[in-house]
Amino acid sequence: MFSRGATLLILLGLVVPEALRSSSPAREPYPAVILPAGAGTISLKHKLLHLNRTVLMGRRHHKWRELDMIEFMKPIPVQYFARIARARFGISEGKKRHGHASEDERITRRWLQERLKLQGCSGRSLRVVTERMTVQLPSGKQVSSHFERPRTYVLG
Amino acid sequence: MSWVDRHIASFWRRVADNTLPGRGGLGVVRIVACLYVLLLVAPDGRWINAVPPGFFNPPRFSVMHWFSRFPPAPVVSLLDALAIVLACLVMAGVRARASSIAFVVVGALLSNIVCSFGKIDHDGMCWAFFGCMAFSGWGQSLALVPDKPSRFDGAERSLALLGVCIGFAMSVVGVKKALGWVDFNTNTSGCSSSTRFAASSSCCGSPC
Repeated sequence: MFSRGATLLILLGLVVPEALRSSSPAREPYPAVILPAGAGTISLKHKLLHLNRTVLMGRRHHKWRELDMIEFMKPIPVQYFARIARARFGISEGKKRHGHASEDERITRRWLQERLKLQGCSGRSLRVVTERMTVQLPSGKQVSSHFERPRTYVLG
Repeated sequence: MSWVDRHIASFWRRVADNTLPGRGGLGVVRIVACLYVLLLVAPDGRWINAVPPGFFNPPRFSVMHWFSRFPPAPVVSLLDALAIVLACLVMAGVRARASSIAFVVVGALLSNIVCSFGKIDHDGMCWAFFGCMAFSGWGQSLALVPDKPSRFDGAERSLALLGVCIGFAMSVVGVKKALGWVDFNTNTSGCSSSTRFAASSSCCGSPC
């Protein structure tokens, strides 16, 4: 049905992309015959569940307020937010490897400012923070929450 | 025939025996697959036009990494329309072999554009499915313009290859999930825990 050479090619076509993904998620090729394999676990020690949540904040009435991330990102599906935030919205060092840097950055800053204004914020500062929550099990009651690793972007 | 060739032939024989469809079933598979694509996961990349260029951050090993920014709006709209028309042609059975191959090329390219934010959506199996089925002869029955029999067509070969792709991908992720989740530790959310919960999309879900 398939010769030795064809079988070897098929094997390489399946194994090489998987090997690249296994070596580092950043090296995952696309498109490839790969399925999602998220297999992380979360600590439940002492019946306490520790979760991280990325929160987007803007200045409203001189105070930092949490923004509606889905509305803010529209029409971009919210599942892409984490990667976009990790790349610092393309308005810092993430831009340097592509061309058109200054013009792209200006358009991107303006887009972010408009999104802030739509949510009633001043439109000049955007903050991404990680909320660390501790939830009691099995009641599901939140016992503690604090924000850390704030990253502030001055847009205008 | 060498020992290696004998084992390779035996492997593919066993895969083919387990993946060969019933007579006439391929036309139905073609229509159902295209209905699924058109009704539930229709290609839609037009929203890319509203995204600022600073967000362009394609994966290193993807077609879009060769470009420096999102394609112009008319190109994305054209690819969108083309993908939907091709899916309709495959469903109706109009030169289904060529239409399927074109659908894979256009659809994968469109999907590449949409995955230009650094996150990859794992829809590669969809393109593997249409790519393999293009050569299965699924355009020869229940078709408006049936494909002529060709030496490239072979249901046995196509479905065996698709079966191997599915088996490989499922096995790899199955092993990875087993290694992560089967930890025999009641203090984690692995399989030994009695606690089950769903994390929201904004939660990273990683262990703290």
